Amino acid sequence: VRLHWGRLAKRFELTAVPYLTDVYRVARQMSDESRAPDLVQETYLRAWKYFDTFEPGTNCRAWLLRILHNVWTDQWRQVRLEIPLNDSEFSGIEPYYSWEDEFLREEFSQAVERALSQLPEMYRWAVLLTDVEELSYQEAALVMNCPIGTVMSRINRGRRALARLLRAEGENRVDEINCLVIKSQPEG
Amino acid sequence: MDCKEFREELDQYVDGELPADTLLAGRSHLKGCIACGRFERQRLLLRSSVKRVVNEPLPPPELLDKVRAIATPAWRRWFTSLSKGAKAIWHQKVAIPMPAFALFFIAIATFGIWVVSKRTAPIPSPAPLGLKTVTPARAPGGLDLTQFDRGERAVIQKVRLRNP
Repeated sequence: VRLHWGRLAKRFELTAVPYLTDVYRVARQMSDESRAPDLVQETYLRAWKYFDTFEPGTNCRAWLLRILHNVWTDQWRQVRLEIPLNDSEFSGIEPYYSWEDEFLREEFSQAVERALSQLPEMYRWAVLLTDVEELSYQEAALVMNCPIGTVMSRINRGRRALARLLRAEGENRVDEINCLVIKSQPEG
Repeated sequence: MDCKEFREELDQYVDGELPADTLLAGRSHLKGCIACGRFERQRLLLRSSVKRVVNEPLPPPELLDKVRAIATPAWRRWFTSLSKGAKAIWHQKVAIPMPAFALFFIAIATFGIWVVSKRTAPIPSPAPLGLKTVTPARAPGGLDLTQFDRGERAVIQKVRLRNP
């Protein structure tokens, strides 16, 4: 038993632990900075508990992200009132926003971070899994435990919502700059 | 493929999830459509920006230790923590007040002197149980070897007597 345990621990160390950074950054986006380590630890505890069910050769990162999603859904999901996005907002073709010209690089990163945090959680999961973790739609569906069609819909809506939020940020920024210019003009 | 179809498939196009024939149709549409090209660039920019922003925070180093400890047997964890603790105590600097140190030093020195004096004193040979230790001259029927052969040489022989 001890040998088996040792081998399993070694395999866990080599297979699952290297994905700590990937798991942490998703956890960090789905919770806050103080709770993310606990969420990751809980994920790895559960992963170790069921590690003998993991099939070697399959995508361990997707497996860990699925456990993270389950842990987050079971215990960590913030019980908060989210205003449901109106489906009609997403129908039709999204108009083109030229928000990328309105930001400097640093400001743009901050704006994206803020917009991402405002995104509804289900859309955020879809965007993170495909854009950051670069999972296929099939793998993302497995992680989120939903059909592929739902994943595609969430990705589309999530990205469009992000674009809209960035546009709003950009417009606010332009308004602020205009105010500063008006205020800094000499009187008379 | 027209603009409406292309923008409906834009996410799958960007994510490389389109089947080969639709992908080719999308590429050929992009060659002739500037507006859809701008949409594609914007979607790619958004994708890379999200990736860059999310990639920035790294996990704290102690989290790696905690995760590694999950698969480590309890006895090994206990042993590691014990050795770490012992090491910490060994390397710790402790400030002792001078009078306390002097008293401790005197006590140690006194103990040392007592031990040395005890070791130099003659140790009486233990007597067998139930017998008295007496000098040979006073022993009943005993011989004083100093009087026998002037104390230089003595031969003691064990003789078995036959019973008459």
